[in-house]
Amino acid sequence: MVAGLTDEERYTFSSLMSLLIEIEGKLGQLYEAMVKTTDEPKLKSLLSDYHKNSLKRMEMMRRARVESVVEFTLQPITGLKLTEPMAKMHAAIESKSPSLEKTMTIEKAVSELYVIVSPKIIQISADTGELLLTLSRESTERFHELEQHVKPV
Amino acid sequence: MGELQEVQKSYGRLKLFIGGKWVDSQSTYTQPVINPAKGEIIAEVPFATREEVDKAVESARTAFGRWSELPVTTRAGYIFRLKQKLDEYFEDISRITTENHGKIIDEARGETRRLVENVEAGCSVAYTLAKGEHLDQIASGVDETLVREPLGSFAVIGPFNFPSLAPFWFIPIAIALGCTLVVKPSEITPLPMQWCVRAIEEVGIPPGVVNVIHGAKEVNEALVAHPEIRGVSFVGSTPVAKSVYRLAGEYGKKALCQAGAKNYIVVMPDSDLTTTIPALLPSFFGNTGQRCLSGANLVAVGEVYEPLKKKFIEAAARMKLGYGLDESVEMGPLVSQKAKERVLGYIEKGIGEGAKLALDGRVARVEAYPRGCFLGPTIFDEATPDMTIARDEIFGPVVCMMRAKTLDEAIDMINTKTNYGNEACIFTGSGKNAREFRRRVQAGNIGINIGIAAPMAFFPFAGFRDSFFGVLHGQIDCVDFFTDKKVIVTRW
Repeated sequence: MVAGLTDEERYTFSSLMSLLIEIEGKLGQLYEAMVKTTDEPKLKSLLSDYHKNSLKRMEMMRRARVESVVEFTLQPITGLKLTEPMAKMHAAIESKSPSLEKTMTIEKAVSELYVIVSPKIIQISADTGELLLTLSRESTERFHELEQHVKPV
Repeated sequence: MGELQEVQKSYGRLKLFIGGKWVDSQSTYTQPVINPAKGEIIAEVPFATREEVDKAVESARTAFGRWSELPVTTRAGYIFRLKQKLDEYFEDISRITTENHGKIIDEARGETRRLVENVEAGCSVAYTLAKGEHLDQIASGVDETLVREPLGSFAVIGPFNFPSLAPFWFIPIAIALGCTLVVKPSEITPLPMQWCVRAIEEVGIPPGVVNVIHGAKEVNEALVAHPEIRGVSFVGSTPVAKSVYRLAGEYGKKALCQAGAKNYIVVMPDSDLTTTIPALLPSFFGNTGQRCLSGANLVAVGEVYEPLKKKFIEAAARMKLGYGLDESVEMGPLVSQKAKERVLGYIEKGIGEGAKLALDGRVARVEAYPRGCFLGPTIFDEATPDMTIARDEIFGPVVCMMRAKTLDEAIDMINTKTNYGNEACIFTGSGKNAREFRRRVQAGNIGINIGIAAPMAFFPFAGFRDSFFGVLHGQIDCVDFFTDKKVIVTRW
C-alpha cells in the first residue's frame, strides 16, 4: 500500500457507510439479545420493536450507500476522528451481559456519532446526510424511551 | 476492512446472446479476460465469426418489425421492468465491474447508478420525447403533423472503461423508440454487460431486440458495413472513433462517436484549496485516470501554483491503492498490463522531455496482489503544454502540472494546445472567472468547481473537436439518432 504521510483518518463514502451499517447491525443484535433478558411485557415489546427497527435502519443506510454514489461522492472524507469512539462502541456492544443501561449508552453514542458524521456526508450526498440526522434523532428518542424503563435505585 | 465477495471466481468461456438465446460461439479465436487487480484470468471471450455477426444482425432485423409495432406503453413497460431488475442486480453488476475493470467499488456503483439513470431516462422518453408535433391550420383547411419513426437496427460498440454504462447511453432510448440493437462490448471488459443482458432476458424483452456479440476491430467493421445496420454508436479512443466514423460515412450510415480527451483543470488563486484538493483527486485518479472526463493537465494560475502543488502531492501520495472490492481502497489498478506498460512509456517520455517527476507512482506496491496492474498517482511538475505528455491522451493516473500567468493564458492553452475538447473545469471563487471560462472554453462538458463534469442522462454527453464525431451526442440527444422525422401535410 502507499504509505500515509500523516495519521489523519480517511474514508471513502462506502467505507464510512459500511462502518455505520456494521454498528447498526450490532445494535440490532444487542436488542435481540435483550428481548430474552426481560419478562416485562411492555419493555419486551419495545426491545423487539427496536430490534426490527434496527434492521430497517440498516436497510435504509445500505440503500443510501448504493443509491447516492455518483462522481461527486468519490472524494475522500477527512477530518473525522472515529477510530476511538468506534472502538469503544464496539467494545461496549460486544461485552457480555447486555443491560438496559448499556443499550442506552450505545444509543446515545450512536446519536452523537451520526451528528458528527452527517455534516461530512452531507457535502457529498445530501440525502444520506439527512438520513443520518433523522436516525440520530430517532436514537435520542429511543434513549429517552429506554430511560423510562430503568428502575430507580 | 475485509474485501467484498466476488460474484463469481470464474466466468468460463463467454457466450453470445443472439435471438434471445445464449449461444456458444464457433470462433476459434479467443482472448483471456483478466481481473487486473489480481492479474488472474477470470473468463475467455470468443471473437464472433462473420456468420455470427450476420446472425445477430438478422435477429435484430427480424425483431424490429414486431418490436416497433408494439404499443409504446408495452415497450415502456418492458423498460420499467428492466429498471427494477437492474436495481435488483445493482450490487452484482457493480462488483463484476470492479472484478473485470479494476475500478474501486464506489466508482463501480457510481457507474451502475448512472446506468440505471439512463434506463429511467429511456422510460420517460417513451412518453415524452418520442411524441411528434402537430399544428392545425397551417393554411386554410390544412394541418401539419410531424411523427418520429424508429429507423431500424443499430450497432452499439462499447468502451472498456465504462463497460456497462456507455452501452446504456443508447440501449434504453433505442428500444423505447422501437429500434433493435446488436451490442458489442469491449473485449477487455465484457463481463458487466453479460450480467446486464441477464436482466434484459429475465424481464422478457422479446428475442432479437437486444443481441450481444463479442470481438474487436473486425467485428466492429463487419457491423458497420452490414447493410441491415442503420447506424452505429461508438465510445472509445479518438483514432478508432475516427475510423468508425469514416467507415460509417463510406457506407452511408448514421454514426455517433464519442472519443478521447485531454482535459484541462484550471485552479485560480481565488479558489478554496480545502475544497478544491478533495475534488481534484477523483478527477485525476478516479477510474485510475481511465475515463474521458478525467483531469489530465492541471493548470495553476498565478501564485497558487506552489501551495496547490504541495497540497495536491500530499493528498495524492496518501491515496490507498489496492483491490477495489476493499471499500477503503481509493484507487484500483489499470485495466491490463498492456495499459500499464503504455502509461509507463509516457512517464519515461515525460522525464525525457524535461518535466520533473514530483510524485512517482511507479514505486507503489500492493503487497497482497503482486501480479496486479497497479500504478500509483503520478504527478509531473513544470510540464509545458507542448510536451507529448501534455498533448497525448495517456489514460492513466498521470498529471501534468503547468503554470499560467492569467486566466486568459489558461483558456488559450485549452483552446489551442490540444485538439481534444471533451471537458474543461475551473476551480474559482469568482463568478466572473467562471463565466468567462464557461463562455470561452472550447470543450463540450464544463465543470465549475466540479472535477468530473459528467452530464446526467437527461442531458447530452457533449464533446467538441477530436473528442466527438457526429452531429448528435450520447444520452438524451440520441432520441434524434435512432429516429427519423416524417412530416404529414393534410387537407380534409
